Parts: sequence; structure tokens; C-alpha cells
Amino acid sequence: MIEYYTDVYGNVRGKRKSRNPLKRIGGYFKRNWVGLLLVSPVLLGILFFTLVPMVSSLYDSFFKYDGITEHIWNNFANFTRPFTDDREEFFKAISVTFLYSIINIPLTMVLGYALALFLNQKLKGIKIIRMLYYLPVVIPTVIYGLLWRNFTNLEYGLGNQIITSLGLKPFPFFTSKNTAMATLIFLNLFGLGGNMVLWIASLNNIPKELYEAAEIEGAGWGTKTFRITIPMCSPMIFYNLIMGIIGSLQTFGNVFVMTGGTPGPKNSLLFYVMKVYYTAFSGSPEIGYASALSWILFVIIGIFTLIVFRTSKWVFYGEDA
Amino acid sequence: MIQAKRMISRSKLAKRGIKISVSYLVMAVLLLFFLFPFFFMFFKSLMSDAESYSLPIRFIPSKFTVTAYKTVLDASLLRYLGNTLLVVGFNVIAVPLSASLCAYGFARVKFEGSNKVFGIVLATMMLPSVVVQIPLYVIFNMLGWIGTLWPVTIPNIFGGGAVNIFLIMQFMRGIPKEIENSAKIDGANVMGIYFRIIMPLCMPIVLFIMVNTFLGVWNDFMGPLIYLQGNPDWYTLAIGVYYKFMGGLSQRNYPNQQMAVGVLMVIPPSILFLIFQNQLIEGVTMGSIKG
Repeated sequence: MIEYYTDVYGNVRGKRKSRNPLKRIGGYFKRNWVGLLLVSPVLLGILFFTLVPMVSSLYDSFFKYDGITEHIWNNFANFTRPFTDDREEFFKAISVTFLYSIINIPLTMVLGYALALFLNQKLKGIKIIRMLYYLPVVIPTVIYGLLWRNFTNLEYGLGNQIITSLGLKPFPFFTSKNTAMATLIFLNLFGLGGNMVLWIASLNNIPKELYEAAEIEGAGWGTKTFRITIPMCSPMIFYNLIMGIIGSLQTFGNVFVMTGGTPGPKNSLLFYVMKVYYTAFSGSPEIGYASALSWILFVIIGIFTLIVFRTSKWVFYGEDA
Repeated sequence: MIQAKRMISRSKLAKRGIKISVSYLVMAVLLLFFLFPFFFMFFKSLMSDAESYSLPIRFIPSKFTVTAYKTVLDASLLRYLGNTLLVVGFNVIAVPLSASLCAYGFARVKFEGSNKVFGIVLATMMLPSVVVQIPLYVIFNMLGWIGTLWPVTIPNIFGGGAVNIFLIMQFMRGIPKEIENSAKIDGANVMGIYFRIIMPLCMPIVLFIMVNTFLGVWNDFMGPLIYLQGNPDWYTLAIGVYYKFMGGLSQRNYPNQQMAVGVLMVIPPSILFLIFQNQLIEGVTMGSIKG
């Protein structure tokens, strides 16, 4: 059996395949060592900083372990605990995270899309306007927290000053369990520019001929939007959905800085990853339980991404794809 | 007939004019919304201590003063800035270098099964970072790395992130093979081709990755929060500012001072964004459309 391959210099060469598996592996490395050497950093990186940690975290999750002293085997206690002892807090974290995701993902997608449609006109200065809309995205997370904590402060914050001057009752923002989530989601809107630029690029990718053809056949705004624009943008909707699910379910930093490291009044902002963080890095760290919790989240995220991938028949990748 | 046509086009023009003015009006209102955080920080930072923390609450200071900036810019903040610049400096070089070498291996040199291996690399992008962060903390702790800058720098030598590799690969595909082949005929080796030909041609995307890395490091909160804990000497700005200005109601927590730090920390990424906006937005969208 002769195998053909292209060597480093681009010449096609043939070689007899050996039956000895060791020789075959040796041959593989001999033929491909340059390429393998070049990509070796990322392969080692995945090994050291992804695979090893994942295996060790799976191992830790079956033990009572504080990260320093010895591992004590405790069967599946770490995996049953969320449904028994720790049920209340676990399901609070799940419900907070899901509520946030269910509102936040579609909201940012729809509003980002609307914003993109609006800014996709050919007007003077539109580029500068787009850029300025994007600008809040570069505000570092910590400053975002400082800024809005200050703005929503009940005694000396500007937020309530504005609200009361409009003749409305003062708003409790992050200090009430009823309004904390709404406040958080509203403040997210300042980052809408990030979503908008993705949509604009996606809109510009739609061939103009499609609209021209539709107009000749007398299609109105609705037909054009629902039969051309949205289907042609479906890869972007898909991408946003996947990234939205992965990102939203792991919400941490922006809430942590907004609440000053607390889970909000009556745990109303106890996001899942915050729970994991408190479990792993409190006064009495429980690395074992935290590992189990993070694996549960991993499975949840995996299931949702899989569902989206499996039901992605509606995504249109162009004729030739 | 002609007149009728003119009338129609005139009324159409008028309609279009109205539409444009309405558009600009809505844009202006939205612009106020999106720029509000910047104005809010800026004005508050120029208030005196007392005014920023007393009634009536003002948006624009009654008297402009820079005392907040003077108080805020102390030795510890400069220390945090120095640490951040160390991390930024390291990563801004390490990330594109490592990512482009790997991309060169995947996209140009290639090896048997390179597409499959690259699939695995891309798949790691989808992994939730929590699953890795806690065990990494344990591992770094064993190595004695917690409270040092190693955990936020060394991992970046290893490939610089799957997204960056992917972006550079996309870019390399656009470079004609002939350039490379003629260099081969002239006797250049793989590394020579990479440094003399591929790397210079990839500069636009490398520049994007450098700027993006700067923004990422400058902004990173969770990494330093976990890995730098307990050692203020090595705090980066993000985490240093968090602990220093978000604690209890100490003297340090006057709103004007908080916002002065905010303004100082927002300036570098804003300037970078304004300079490189085209590349940044292009890069962001490239990753999503082609991916």
C-alpha cells in the first residue's frame, strides 16, 4: 500500500505503509514533525490548562476536599447535596441564573437587532454615531460596577434624584429583591453596542439583489424582513444564541462588582457561578463541592447548547454550504 | 404630466427629509443614553469631596476641582498600574506570537489530521471556564503561584487562545501560496518564511489581536480575583481598584474619588478603541460571521 503525502516543501511523495504500528507512528511523526512542532504550544496548553484541570476537578468532585488538606472520599454526596441539604440555595441560584438568561438573551438580541436596523441607514456621520454607541462596551467591569453602584445609591445617587424630579416614587434599585434583577438587566442595555455591530456586519452581508428582486415582485416591508433579512441573518442569530447561553449561564463579574461581592437582597442576585465562587473561596473552602457544582453547570450548559445545535435546521448557510 | 411627476418627487423629497430629521433626533436621544455613563463619571470626578457626598445631588459640579484626582493618584494605584502594564506588556507580545505560530502550523504547514486537531482546539472554546478555574486555582496553589502574576501570564504562551488562532488562520488563507513557494525555492526554511514573509503580511490581524489583548487584560476581573487573592503587591488595576474603592464607607469612598479612578481607567481603552475602531469591529465580526 502506498501512501501519498505532501512534505514540508510542497512536494508530493509516496511511501510504503508499514504494518508495524510503532513504525507507523514513528513515520507519522517523521513526516509531520514541523507542523506538529508549530502547533505544540496550543496542544500542550490544552493539556495543562484544560484537560488536566478538568480531570482533576472531576476527581475532586467525589471527595470532601478543602484544597489544602487530604481528600476524603464521600461517595456521591457532593452531587446529591444540591438536591438535599443545599436544595434551597441551589435552586435559588438556578432560578436566578435562568430567569436572567431567559430575559437577557432575547432582549439584547432583539434590541441589538433593532438598533442595527436603525443605524444601517445611509446617513451622514452614521459611522461616528455607531462608534459612539459602541463606546460603553470598553468600560472595564470594575468601573462599570463603581459607576452604577454610585448612580443607584439610595441616599446620594443621581438615579433617584432623576426619578423623584419626574414626580415618581424613589426606586429601590439593588436594595430590594423585587427590583434588583430588573435593575441589572436594564443596566446591561448600555452594552448593546457590542451586539449591534455584529448585526450590522450581518445585515451588510446580505446581497442587495435579493431585495431588488423582491421589490420587483411587489414585496412589502414585512415580507422583506421575514422572508429575506431574518433568514439571511440566521447564522448570526444562531451564533448569538449559543454565545448568549454559554455567557449568560456563567454570569459573574458584572454582578459581583455591582453588588460589591454580595448575592443581593434575599439572594435575589445569587447567580450560579457566584454560588460556586462562595463555595470554593469562603472562610471554609469546599473545593470538592464547588467542583461538583461546576460540573453540574457544565452539563446544563452542554445540554442547552446541544439542544440548540440539534434544532438548528432553521439556520441558513447559503446555497453552497 | 411632467408637473405631476415633479409634485410627486417633491412630496417624496419632503417625506424623506422628515424621515431623516426624525432619524437624527432619535439618534441624538440614544446617543445621550449611551454616552451618559461617561458624562456622569466625568462630572462627578470633578466635584469636591463634600459636594459629591451631600445633598442636593448634582450632575454638573457647582465648582470644578481636581482634588479627587490628586487624592486618587497615590503610590498603591501606581503600583497596580505598573502590575497591569507588566501583564499587558507580556501578553500583548506572547499572545499574537504564540497564536500566529500555531495558526501557521494549522493553516499553512499542515500535518496529517490537522483539521481534526484544530476541531478539538476550537471545541475547547465552548467549555465553560468555571470547570477549569477552580482546579487551576488548586494547581497554581500547589505550585505557589497564587498571589503572583504567573497565572495571568504564563498560560498565554500556550497558543494564546483558540479564537485568536482561528482569526489568524482565516487571515493566512488569504495570503497567496506563490509568495511562500518562491521563498522556498530561494532556500528559506519554515521559520525563515514565518518571520520574514507570513508574520509581516499578517500584521493587520496581529495588530487587532494585540489591541484586543490589551483591552482583555485591562478589563479582566475574575482571573485576578481568583489568582491574585491575598497579595495586594501584585494586584492589577481591576482588582486593586475593586478592593480599594468598593469596600466599606471609608475615607477612600467618596464618589468623586471613585469616579476619578473610573475616568483614569476608562481613558486608555477608549483611546485605543477610537484609534483602532475599524480593525476592532472588523475583527469582532470576522470571528462570528466566518465561524
